[in-house]
Amino acid sequence: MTEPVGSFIDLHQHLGLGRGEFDLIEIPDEDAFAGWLDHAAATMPRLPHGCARALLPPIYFQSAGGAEDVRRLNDLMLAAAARPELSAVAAFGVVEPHHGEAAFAELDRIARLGLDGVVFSPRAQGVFANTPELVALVKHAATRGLLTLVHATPRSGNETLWRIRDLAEQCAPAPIVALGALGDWETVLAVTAGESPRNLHYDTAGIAVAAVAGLVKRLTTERLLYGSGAHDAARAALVGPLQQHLAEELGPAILRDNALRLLGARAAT
Amino acid sequence: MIMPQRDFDILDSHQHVGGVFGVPGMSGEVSESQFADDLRVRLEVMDRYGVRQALLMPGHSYMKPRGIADTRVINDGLAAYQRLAPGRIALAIGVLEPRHGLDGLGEIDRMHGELGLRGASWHHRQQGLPMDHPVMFACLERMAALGLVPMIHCFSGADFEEIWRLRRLAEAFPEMPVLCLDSMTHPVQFEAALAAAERATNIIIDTTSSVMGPDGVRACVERLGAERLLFGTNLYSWQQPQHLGELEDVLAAQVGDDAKALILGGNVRRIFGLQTAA
Repeated sequence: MTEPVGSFIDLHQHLGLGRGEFDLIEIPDEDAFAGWLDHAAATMPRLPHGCARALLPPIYFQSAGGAEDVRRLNDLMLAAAARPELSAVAAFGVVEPHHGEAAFAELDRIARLGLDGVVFSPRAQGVFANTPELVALVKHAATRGLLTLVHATPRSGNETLWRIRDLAEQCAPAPIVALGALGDWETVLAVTAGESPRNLHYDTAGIAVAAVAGLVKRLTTERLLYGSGAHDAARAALVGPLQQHLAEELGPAILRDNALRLLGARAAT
Repeated sequence: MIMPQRDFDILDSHQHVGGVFGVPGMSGEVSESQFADDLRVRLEVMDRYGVRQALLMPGHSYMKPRGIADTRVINDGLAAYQRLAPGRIALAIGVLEPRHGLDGLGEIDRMHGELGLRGASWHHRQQGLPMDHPVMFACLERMAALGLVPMIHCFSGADFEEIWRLRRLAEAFPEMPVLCLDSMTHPVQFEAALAAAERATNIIIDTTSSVMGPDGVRACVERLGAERLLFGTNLYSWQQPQHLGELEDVLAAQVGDDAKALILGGNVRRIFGLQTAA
């Protein structure tokens, strides 16, 4: 991994932005990857010089083909990571808890091929965040050196904070990054009021500037990572202004160093 | 507790074959080789409580590494299960996956033309897309043309299962009965369901997993009419409950016996065009 020189790494940007949050992305065939990625690159938020992003897969995608669709998507993520204009410092894949043994095999494959981690979206995948199938996959991912990101959408039953915490406790000491948890006042209060497992990290997607100080005090700077959470075109339009607004509050550890540390642990395996 | 059933011809309008990942006591998938044993346990429960017939759906959380091919297997299995006891499993309602997009339309045609299923069901918190996604409108449009009935879970607090989403669907297809399942799982969810059903008169509510007690049954009858409530228990595979709370609620409700007869079986038979017992 070539270490970026800019002021931040955005750990949470999804490839293939739809117009709306729940657009079902159709994963192209391999011979259409190049054209699809040309369009995706044109719609991704622009980054300042030297800054970088982690590329996350689309959350909602057509899956009538089952594990074949997932394999093709992960191949697409690999191809995206190789595109210099996407400024990717890391790329993540996906496996489906409802795919059984095929999901474990796919974790092995994406680790061999060089993806940096795996993203779980329990709401989109129709499972509770702490279901035994997902716990087993996260543990397996850790043995392959893959970093786990898991969506923790506020007010979601499937992704609720107690399930995320339970997942982290069961998978300790593997680091897990909860995505999007801090974009809600109630959840911020829950995080600052209670104990989080030490292997559970949080990204800053949706965070209010006023919440930062309390979260840093509770979690320490080591367990917060900058992520903008752009997963549709509307949110992507907000990324630039938010980044500038938050930068002073977050500091270099949260803006880039923590991501480098977690991703660097993958690179060392 | 075993209930004296009097003269009601009871049809449980909400049972599942299969299980739910991550929920204690719900063990997961049931293979076709296990259908006969599962049916035996199911019928023992039904007989114990005087339930003559049932409507059966799959569980909505099943392994699907082959995508829609696995969904077809589930629906094939459901049809085969019903054939084991068609007099007792009076209705079979298949499953569709919203994440399969418009590929699901072909499965609707197959469920109707080949398998003889009478509708399709969803439990969106287990299926990963909102209930009012454009795919759902396309599915209901196809089902309306074929005379199939949608059965949609609206469990309180569940992702994508909010009542306001169901109302959008129901209002788009006002001539189609839209069965709203699990709404009695919380007072607020129940109130939302009643309010939606007062506006969209094609919404039919069920008693499954109710926390509202007999008074919930009475409230539904008063506000919507006895014709718009279905008795259902959420019986999953292998379960042997010590009592059926939903049945107790209906029997104890402060409503007349005619209303109870509708709720306990008359309504679901009317909706699906089934004959009543002689």
